[in-house]
Amino acid sequence: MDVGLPGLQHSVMVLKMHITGKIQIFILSLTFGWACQTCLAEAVPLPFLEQFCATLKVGRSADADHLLLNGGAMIEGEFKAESVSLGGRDLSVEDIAAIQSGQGTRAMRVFLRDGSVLRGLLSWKEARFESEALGYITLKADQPGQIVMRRAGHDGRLSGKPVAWMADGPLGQVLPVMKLPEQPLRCRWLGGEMMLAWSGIHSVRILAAPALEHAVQLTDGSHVRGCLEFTGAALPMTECAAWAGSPADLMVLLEGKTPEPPRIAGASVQIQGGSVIAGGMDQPSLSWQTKEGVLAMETADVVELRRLPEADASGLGAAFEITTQQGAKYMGHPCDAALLWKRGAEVRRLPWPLIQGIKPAPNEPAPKS
Amino acid sequence: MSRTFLIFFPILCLLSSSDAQQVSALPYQPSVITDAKGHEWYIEQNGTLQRNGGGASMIGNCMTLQMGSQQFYSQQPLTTPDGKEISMSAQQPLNGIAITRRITVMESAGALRYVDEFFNTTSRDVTLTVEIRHGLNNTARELMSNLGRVITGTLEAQESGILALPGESDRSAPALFLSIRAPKSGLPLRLRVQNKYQISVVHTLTIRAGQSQTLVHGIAQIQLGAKATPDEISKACAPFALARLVKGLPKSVLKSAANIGSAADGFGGSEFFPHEFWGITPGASDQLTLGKDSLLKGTATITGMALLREGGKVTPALENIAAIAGSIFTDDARAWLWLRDGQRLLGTLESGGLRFTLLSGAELPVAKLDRLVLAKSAEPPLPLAHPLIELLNGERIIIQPEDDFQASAPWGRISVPWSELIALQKADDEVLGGLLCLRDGTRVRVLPQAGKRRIQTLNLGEQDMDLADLRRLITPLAMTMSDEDAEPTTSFLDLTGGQRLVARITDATLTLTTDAGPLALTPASIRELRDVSEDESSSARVFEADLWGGGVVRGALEDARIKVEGRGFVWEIPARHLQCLVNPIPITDNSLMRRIGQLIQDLGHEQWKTRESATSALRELGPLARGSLQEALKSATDAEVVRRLEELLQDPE
Repeated sequence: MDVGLPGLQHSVMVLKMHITGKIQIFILSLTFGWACQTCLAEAVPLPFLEQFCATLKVGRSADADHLLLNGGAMIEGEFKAESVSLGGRDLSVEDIAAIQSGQGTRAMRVFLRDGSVLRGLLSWKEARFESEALGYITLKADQPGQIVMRRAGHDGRLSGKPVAWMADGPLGQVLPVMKLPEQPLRCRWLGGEMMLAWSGIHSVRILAAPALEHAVQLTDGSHVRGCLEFTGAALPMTECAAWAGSPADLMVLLEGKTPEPPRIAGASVQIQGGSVIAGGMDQPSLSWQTKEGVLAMETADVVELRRLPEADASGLGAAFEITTQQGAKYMGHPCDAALLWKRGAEVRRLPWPLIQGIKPAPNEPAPKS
Repeated sequence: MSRTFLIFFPILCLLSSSDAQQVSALPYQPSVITDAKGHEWYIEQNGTLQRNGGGASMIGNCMTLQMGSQQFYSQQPLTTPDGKEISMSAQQPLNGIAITRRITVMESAGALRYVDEFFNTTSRDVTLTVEIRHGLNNTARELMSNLGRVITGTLEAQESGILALPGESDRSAPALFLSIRAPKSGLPLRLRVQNKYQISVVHTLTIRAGQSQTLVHGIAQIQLGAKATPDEISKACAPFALARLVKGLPKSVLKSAANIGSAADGFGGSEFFPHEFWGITPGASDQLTLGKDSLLKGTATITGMALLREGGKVTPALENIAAIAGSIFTDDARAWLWLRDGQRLLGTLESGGLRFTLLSGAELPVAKLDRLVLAKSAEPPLPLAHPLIELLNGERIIIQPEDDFQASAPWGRISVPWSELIALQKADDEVLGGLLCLRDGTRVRVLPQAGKRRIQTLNLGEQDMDLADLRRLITPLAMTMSDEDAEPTTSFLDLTGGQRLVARITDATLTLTTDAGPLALTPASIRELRDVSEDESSSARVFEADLWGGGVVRGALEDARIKVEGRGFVWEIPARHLQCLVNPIPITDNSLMRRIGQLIQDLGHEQWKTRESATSALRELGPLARGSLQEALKSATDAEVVRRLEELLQDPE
């Protein structure tokens, strides 16, 4: 992430300075130009910063920084530092919105004003907190306490529009993704391997133990559970606990919940393990083994398909109930090993034992009873 | 376990408390304990919980231990100075069973953990009924499972505990959760519930002569909304799952915990070679069913039999067939063919004719087949020589693969020769894929690599198969190796979800943030590193490390990811997945080896003082010097050196 210039407030401060000579005017115009550009960018909400402030019970002030000491005392004043770096990366003091410490390790979380949250070992020069009442406190980088900076005009401003946001854990880093990787995301799931276009991904969430894989929500309403390979993708982080279009949705995902998913417009197939794939059958007919013999049913005539759990219990293989357009129901076993299922341009082979059912499009007429 | 050890077991347990400091055991006097969540506990001298404090509680008298009709009573219980560990033993064995009860107050979690050990002091195997009785203060509004299901009979397969919800008269009381077993435990369990007021959890244990078994239970008080949904109940109970409560318990205790381990035999090999087929046990003659209630015994003769599989036609010899299920049984045209070598095939049966000659001599033509189970073979079955795979459609096929087995694990890919595989076991329902067990002791959750490939089979020729269709498998190793054989002798990591990686850590150091600051440890210097975090929601995991050079370090692990390298994989594991890291044997560097060599030489030094000081130094090195001491003993001739070496080797580690 680029370390940005200070925002509008800083530009105004520059304006107030006594400027003489062409060089100063040039600097002023550059700064002002950047500030205007920043103002044009849409401000993003800062839910992670707000959540941190709420935990501390600190309301962000427009004219004072807050320092919560490890002993519990809260001081108002001004944080100053000559330089700050986190994990070896230099940060501009003006870009920092808050610093969170005391998570058990030496790693600190630094909330930036653009919505990013960084985590790492903090180091700084001449950091101190000045307070009218108490004078100043020299701050140690390994025990800085909790610091919440005052509001600034560039809060929530990014120098570009992120295409997504990702986080590596509930108390980890949060970073904007400015460009989607060109290579699709490789997902290994029960049905084999799936290459997912990044543009078609609505959200990603890592599942809690004992499950260790990810749940991927796609923009067409499909939902896949599988092992994802982030390595090699040009992303800000190699570990992804959550991925969403906005920081607010990201926070919902990190809480173990799912933001409102896109609805499936057409038919869908339900797979063991919770995956649901939108699309339709890509074979003209289904060959069905029933008590009466083998039936060939046109797939266009099949409205719904439901797995019969009692057949699973018998150990004789997956059995289903098919409902046709005319409302007829047939019970039996598929003759083929797998169903061909088309999602977009891609045709997938789905082994029948993995299939839990097929649901019609929500607006399709209900079968005659 | 010797009787002497048993007597001192409670004290030893207390001495090896989590702080691992030398602590003295004190006589225990019951008093009200308040946990970090403000819930009160009052533990009687025999471990029974009583309602004694002023706070609202559902506890009447809980965790009462009963064996048959006899209640457990203890001699003077002991406790650690901080009062967090209480240990008690029965005054004398009950029916030959010596009982030790160890209670841990998990203060920040808001739970108590009970480890009840039953040691069979007799020379015969003993089967006993153990009852843990819970009387509630008031009738519960509802008894639910930890998954939010109303309990009517017993727990279902995936359920592990009982939640008693407070009734109307007791609204302010927290719900009471009884953590009873690990979901995979195969230990028979019975519940007796009387009017939502008294709950008895009954386990049946069979303990071999001179051996012991343990039962682990947890009890927690949980604040829940009046209208908690099953999902909320499930989440609220999750932190008290036994898998979490057992953290920090010695491996030996965990191994003997009857309500935690799986009932399955080793690697599940016997499941592939059943003793009965569709409810019929093979006998001396062939058996033919004609529907549900008729079973004939005699001799079957089949001519021109073939099975039309999706992958081609199979014509097995009758002597290789163990059982056939035909269309009457399957309710359609398909048939199952079970071969004596463990293969199971699905297809349409073709037969020139099936005749069944009864033992009386009468002959019966069979037009449609139900089940035919052929007589036991006089020859012992040949041992499994190649991998036997089970596909999603239920077929089992012996394959002779040539390339490596490839799969995806949660942390990346793994590629290992088939000869290293023991089994791919079906994982629990809530997780994807299966548990891959390797010869070196690695057990990791995987999804086999998808994609069609031609695989040579034992007797179906080459088949096009997609290993994404693989449900589970065993190899010949599954029939010969036990869990204990697969116990690693080199470094390994135990991970979330019962996984184990036999691997070495390739990070130069692991850093623990102790109270006095960060401490970087080389992985080789660690004998055992275990997660002792009490707060599951905390981002920083707290670990305790036993060091090979002596000493214990406790602190939060700073490394978010740990680099590991094992057979067929190089991964980075999130530190939150790590439960335990073990280096079973010390890794000593050259300078230390030289020093040990010099000290061993000094055991025979002419100066008594030097000999004494070398002995002390070697004693201090403990297990680091053990291997060298053993080697030195083999060649030592000097009587005093031999004596000193033997004494050092007899020292407890």
